[in-house]
Amino acid sequence: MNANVGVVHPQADTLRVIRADDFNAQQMAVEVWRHRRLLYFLVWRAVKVRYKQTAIGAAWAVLQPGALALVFAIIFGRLAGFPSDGLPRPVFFLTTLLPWTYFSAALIGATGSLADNQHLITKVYFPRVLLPMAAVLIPLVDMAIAAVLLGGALAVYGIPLAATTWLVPFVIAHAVFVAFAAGLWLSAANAYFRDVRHAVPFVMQLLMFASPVVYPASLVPEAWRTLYALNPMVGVIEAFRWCLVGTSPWPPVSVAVSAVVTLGLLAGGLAFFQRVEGTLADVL
Amino acid sequence: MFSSAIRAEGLGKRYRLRSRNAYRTLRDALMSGFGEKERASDAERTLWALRDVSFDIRAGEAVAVIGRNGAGKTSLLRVLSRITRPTEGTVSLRGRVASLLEVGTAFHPELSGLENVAFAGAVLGMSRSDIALRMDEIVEFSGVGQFIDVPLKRYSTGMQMRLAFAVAAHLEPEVMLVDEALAVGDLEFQRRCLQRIEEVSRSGRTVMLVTHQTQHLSRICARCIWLDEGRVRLDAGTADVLAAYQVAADERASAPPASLDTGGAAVRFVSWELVDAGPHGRHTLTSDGPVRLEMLVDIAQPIARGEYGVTLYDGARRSVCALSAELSGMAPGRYRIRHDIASLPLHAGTYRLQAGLFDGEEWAVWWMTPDLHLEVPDRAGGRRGAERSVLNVDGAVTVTTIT
Repeated sequence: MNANVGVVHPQADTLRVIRADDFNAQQMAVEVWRHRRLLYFLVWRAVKVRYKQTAIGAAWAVLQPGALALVFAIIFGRLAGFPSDGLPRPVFFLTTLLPWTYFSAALIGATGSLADNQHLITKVYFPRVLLPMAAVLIPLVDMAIAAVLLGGALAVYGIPLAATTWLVPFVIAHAVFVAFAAGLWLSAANAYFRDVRHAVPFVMQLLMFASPVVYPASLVPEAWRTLYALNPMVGVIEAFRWCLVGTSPWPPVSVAVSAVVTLGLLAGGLAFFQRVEGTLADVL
Repeated sequence: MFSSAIRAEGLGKRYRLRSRNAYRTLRDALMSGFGEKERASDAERTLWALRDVSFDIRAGEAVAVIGRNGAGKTSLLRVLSRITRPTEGTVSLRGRVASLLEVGTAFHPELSGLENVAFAGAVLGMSRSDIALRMDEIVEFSGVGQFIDVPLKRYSTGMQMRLAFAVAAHLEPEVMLVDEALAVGDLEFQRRCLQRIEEVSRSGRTVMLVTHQTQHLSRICARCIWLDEGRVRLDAGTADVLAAYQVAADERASAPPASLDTGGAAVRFVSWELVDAGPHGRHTLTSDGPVRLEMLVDIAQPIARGEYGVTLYDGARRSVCALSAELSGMAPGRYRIRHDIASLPLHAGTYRLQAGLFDGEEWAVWWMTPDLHLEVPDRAGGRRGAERSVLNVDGAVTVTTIT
């Protein structure tokens, strides 16, 4: 070994025990922490590769929600006459499309994350949970770029940011957790049945109409609100707009319901994922 | 605690064979695990690729794992490198574990060579400072040169492989797991891999080499574990295990001798034996010291004037040496043919003897032994370039001053 003496390996003396029934949340957390650099690199790699060999590059991240917001403004606003909580229609749709586009991309990415990286999983050890984790972080970059568009729209329409804007990162974190929790289930299920990855984009299209994306949640009858809020993205999208521009009423019920649903999904997802994680290399 | 680098206790790995939902990778895993044992698949069948495997490898040991295809070698490696969990039993690993030659799988075609090295390093658990420290070295070692900033998809296969190997070669794991099946590539590349393994082993790290090539093995590994149908069949010194493995291989291949019999029942080879075969078994020759081989033949027709010949072939079916004797006035009956060979200055490997009897005019009978394994004792002082030479001669070179 060449002239590299004196490099200390922090893990040089760790003892690792491998067993069949090694499902333990604490261990998982330790392993993830130990491999945190790989998480960073997975995200970094995806971002680097994303717009390689494209002419307009990151502009795609702006174009997609921008164009959709315009089309929605014309169809659902002008033609169908959906209310928009008193906001200019393009601004309203941008506030719903930003979190929704993120969520949709994150969940679709997370679902395929294990299958897409089977060459890694079957050849090298690392905590598999890093893959869905990275997958839900990657679309945040696109969201951040698209946020510039939203900022521009707010400026053009002269809408001031609400005092609660500082809460937006928490709402986004909530969205990340929703995607991650669902992604744990779906990525593992997709490892066994590739049907899942075909179903998810389709389900996402349906789910968009069950979320306040093309219409405000206030359009949903009061009696149905709690049931409606079982879709965890209801709370996220409503809270996002409320934090940013403060027009729609603070949605405590839907946020609380969403948080509970997310926690349940997350706990179950982690348990399920841990159960299958160890032998993913055999089924992929 | 304990000073083992790797300790396996009652290790077992069961695969579920499913005809439905059998995705490509499962099939791959099973192919590599059970290559020669494919049967008609039922709806749900289970197969133990490993069972009751226990061993204890001390830090700094170099251990080879041999076995036929489907013996569980790859499964063992996958369990030890934590790619998949065992079904039962426990593995304790001390120190950082790395599998050599697995890095190329982490490469992405759109990223540059440099970016790929950084990513592959992260996958293999190298720390930021590790990679930063070695980046220049890795780039130089790979010989990729100014292409290091070019996307990997523009590289030739050879360049990609060299880069992958360069990363692996600069890992400094405490435990190195090597699957020799992965050491594909040209001879030079294989040679460098082996050399690298030897270096790692000599630097006091633990090496486990999974292989089905037995050549050069005793040079690298002192200890050898023989896996057979998922179980440890023998765990001992490499020479002993190789000899036993060879005997078993011969027994399995106990097909009747390949004879090209053109003389009807004129001659029958009855048996053969290495006299004083030594500790390594009846199919093992040693390269220094005399070799005595006896053969029994039944001759049914008298031979007035004929010839007997025997030729030693190497693994590539090249004739290495030949002996012959003239025969005259032989009556029908059983004969013992004794061969005395002063020494076989050859390299370790697999050889075969072909014997033939000619009656000079009408018929000839050929007969071939099963594989013979030639052991070469370690000689003091390595001889540079010895492996590539034709003969394996023991000798000494002395340089003295005369002025």
